[in-house]
Amino acid sequence: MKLKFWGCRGSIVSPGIETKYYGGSTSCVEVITDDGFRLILDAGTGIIPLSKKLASSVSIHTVVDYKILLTHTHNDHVQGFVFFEPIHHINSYITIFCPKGTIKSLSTIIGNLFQAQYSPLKSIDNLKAQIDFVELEETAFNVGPFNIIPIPLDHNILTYGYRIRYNDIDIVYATDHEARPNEINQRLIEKAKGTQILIHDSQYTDEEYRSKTNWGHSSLSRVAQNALEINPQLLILFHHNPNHNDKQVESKMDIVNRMVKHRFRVISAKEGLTLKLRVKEDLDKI
Amino acid sequence: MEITFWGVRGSYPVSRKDSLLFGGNTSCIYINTSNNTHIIIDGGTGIRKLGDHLLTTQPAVGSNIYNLLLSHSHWDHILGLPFFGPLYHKNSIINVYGATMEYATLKNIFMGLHDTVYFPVALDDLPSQIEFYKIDPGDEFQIADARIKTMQLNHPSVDLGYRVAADGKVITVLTDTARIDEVVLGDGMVKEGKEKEEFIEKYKRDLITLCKDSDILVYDAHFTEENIAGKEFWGHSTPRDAIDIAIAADVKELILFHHDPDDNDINTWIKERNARMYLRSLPKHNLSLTAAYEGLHIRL
Repeated sequence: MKLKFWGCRGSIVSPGIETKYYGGSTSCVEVITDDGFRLILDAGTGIIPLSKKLASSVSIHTVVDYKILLTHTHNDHVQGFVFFEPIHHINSYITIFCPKGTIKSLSTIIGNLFQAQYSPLKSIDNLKAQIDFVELEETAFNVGPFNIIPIPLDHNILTYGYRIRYNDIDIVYATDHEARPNEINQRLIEKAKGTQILIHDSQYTDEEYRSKTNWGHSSLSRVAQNALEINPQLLILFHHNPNHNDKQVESKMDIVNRMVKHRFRVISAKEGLTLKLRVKEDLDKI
Repeated sequence: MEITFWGVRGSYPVSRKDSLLFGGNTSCIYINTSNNTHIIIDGGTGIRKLGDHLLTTQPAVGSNIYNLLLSHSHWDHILGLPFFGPLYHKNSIINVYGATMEYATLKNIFMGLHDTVYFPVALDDLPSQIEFYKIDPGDEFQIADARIKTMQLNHPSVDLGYRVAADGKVITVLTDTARIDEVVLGDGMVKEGKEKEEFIEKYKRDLITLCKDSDILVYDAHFTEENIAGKEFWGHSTPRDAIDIAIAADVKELILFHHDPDDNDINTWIKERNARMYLRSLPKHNLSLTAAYEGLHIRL
């Protein structure tokens, strides 16, 4: 299995010289099995370069299935879909999975991104691709060879993290979560226990968090506490604050490493980072 | 009067190491007059840093008025708006000027952006005072010491070009817009029939009148002559289109704007160099040109 980060930034893109190492694109992570089955986590702007790569590697005559698993529909997790190349190909079959909304249906929320005032495409009905929407309940499901367990997170709207299992490897993708002592967080810990890879929202330093309580993102101390309880082999800090430059993102890694006393490896997610996950020994090489 | 470019990219933001020199943020231009009138054209992703900058340089007491002129509301021109810092300060007054379309009013566009399914803070919960001013193409109006003239450009939906005159100087910003030889794109424009030719002739005259004698003309130059082929309907121009208008309107300085997200710095630089070569091949004129980059600042 391969894990590739295409966008690690939270809230809004922050391209520029000061963020060139970790990157400025918003949330998008690609998970691919050894046989090439692909699952795309979130459709932030990172999905745009991913889709350009995908489009250039297949003929427009080839039927291709795309599976996109959204944590929620905040703009930094859906914006890239408007520019997802395969929407323009008649042989694209796209399935979007997302927690069942309470206010609007998923098809309306995604469809409205294409309204004439926002997009020259004028309507989602003008897209050539076949798009299916799956509104998720809190029950485990399968997408191709992946077994996926939704985990409700603490955010401003209904947001799911996911425990994704393929062969013997587990990845927990828990972004846009405000870790704090409550029942939601406790359930995340329980459901994530024993995962090899933990990708966790790490938007704020402890100091920043003091003025951003209830904004739906985690402070580094809380990330460290969660990770110590979950005890993964690798903790990946994700959803970087757009105001953080490369130095600050790097220092988050050092801070959390100290907090968890190097009990497991801690890295900051970086645009372009690819992890090959076969056996435990692969993790040791990171 | 001064102008600063906070976002120069078209279509969508790019975060690539090969595009750092021109920058990856989408459209946002800031104009400031000698009376400290703040005029912001478009709220692409560049507006986040502009907002942070304004907050550090503006007085904390008394009200600060920010005037936002929207060319149109395609994503690349509004994506940064919810991250404009002054929206979250109760002493900010934000005057938004833009077109209302058949399918959406100016306020609808903002309500949509702040719909809680997309963004955690609803429009009504913002502490700043936001006023919406509907502009019809062709309207002229005053913002403090600045005189604004408008016209509808050749782009899908209703897209406004702005001529901003203050301190005896003129800055005209025309984005997004396509050349108008055949393809007519805007809502309400004459797209077929026998009046089409007449409409196009009038459009061309009006465009030159709007740009006439501008000290600075910022112009959509998304494409090159080579890569516009097949994309004539996308609503963007080439440097050559921009130069022809600028010369006809006796503009002093042309700024090529709205760079193609597929172009890296080298491609954008080649686009600028080829534009200069074309300019040099033309007889008698006083035009100079620059490709816009993030951070470009010109004081007139």
